[in-house]
Amino acid sequence: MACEHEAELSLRYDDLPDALRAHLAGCPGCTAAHRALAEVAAMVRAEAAAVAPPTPAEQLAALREVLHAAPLWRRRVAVPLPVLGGALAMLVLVVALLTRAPAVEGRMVIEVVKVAP
Amino acid sequence: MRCALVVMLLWSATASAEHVRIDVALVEHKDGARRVVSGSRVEGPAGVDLEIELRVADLVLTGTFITDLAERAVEVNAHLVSRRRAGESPRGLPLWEEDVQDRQLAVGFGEALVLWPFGRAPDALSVELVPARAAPIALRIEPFARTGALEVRARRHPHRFVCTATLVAPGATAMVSDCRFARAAYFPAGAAGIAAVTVAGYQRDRPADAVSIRLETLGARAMATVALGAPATFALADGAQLRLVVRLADGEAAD
Repeated sequence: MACEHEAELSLRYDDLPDALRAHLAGCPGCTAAHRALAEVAAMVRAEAAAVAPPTPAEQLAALREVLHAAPLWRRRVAVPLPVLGGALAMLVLVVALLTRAPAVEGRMVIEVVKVAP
Repeated sequence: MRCALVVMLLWSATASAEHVRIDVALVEHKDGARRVVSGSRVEGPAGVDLEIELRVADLVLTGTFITDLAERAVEVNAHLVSRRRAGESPRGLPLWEEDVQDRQLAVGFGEALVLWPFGRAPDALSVELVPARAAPIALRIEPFARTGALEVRARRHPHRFVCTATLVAPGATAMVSDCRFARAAYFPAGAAGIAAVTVAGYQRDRPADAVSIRLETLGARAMATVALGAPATFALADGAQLRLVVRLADGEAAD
């Protein structure tokens, strides 16, 4: 079955007149074109929503959150404090292990001990 | 005057009565048991210095122990070098692992200085120095084990000196400091900052005993051997000079 609206199917689905969209939804010959247009329209809406920049009001709210919600000494710390503390403790442990007195095996050892009477 | 003379005689008798005995033993540890395989007993006036040398296969230990008697202990200034053969270079020359340590320790009577020259392990060798007070006796070394793997040498010479340093400059004043053998004494040295002066050696000699003096300043080091009481002059930075004179401290005697 031929469709008299074939030339208009390249338009954006969301921009189509309501009458044409109603026709596409009900016309058996236009079902495939209608489904393709609907999918493209959904993708376009999703992409537009994903890349939409925050509004000035949202940006202002985020800035206030940074300036007022967090204490000064935390503002420049990108790593959560417990993680930072844990990493520091591990570093101290590793340094202590590496720089501790070397194994007695091999290196000269000198000590003063009590003598049994 | 008579009273002072008596005190001096008493002090001299006390000083001469300060004698020590130091047992130096090479101990083999095996299967939880210990066995003395070599050693010597050194007896003599306090302040005796020991030198040891141990050679076992490719293991070599040399050590110098400068001792001084304190109230309840023997102060030990130890310089130790242990070496072990680690293979050969591509040119066929021997390669050695070397461990050098300088330690100052106080070993009480009833204590032992234990040295593990090649590491402490269940089966290993140790060298033990056990000091004790002794009756007055001339310096003597007596081996008490048959094997001679451990060589022990002992000598006694003065340990306490008076160092006088003078910057060679118009109007400079002499600086006087007590100097202990093998320990640094420090003097202001003008533009060179601080000079560390060490009496590093003592030689019995004629007509006078001699001392080896080591002088260290920031970035410079020099040595000289001069007779006791004779001046040694060292060049410092900016053309300055430091004149040093070393004399024996009271109570010490030259040869």
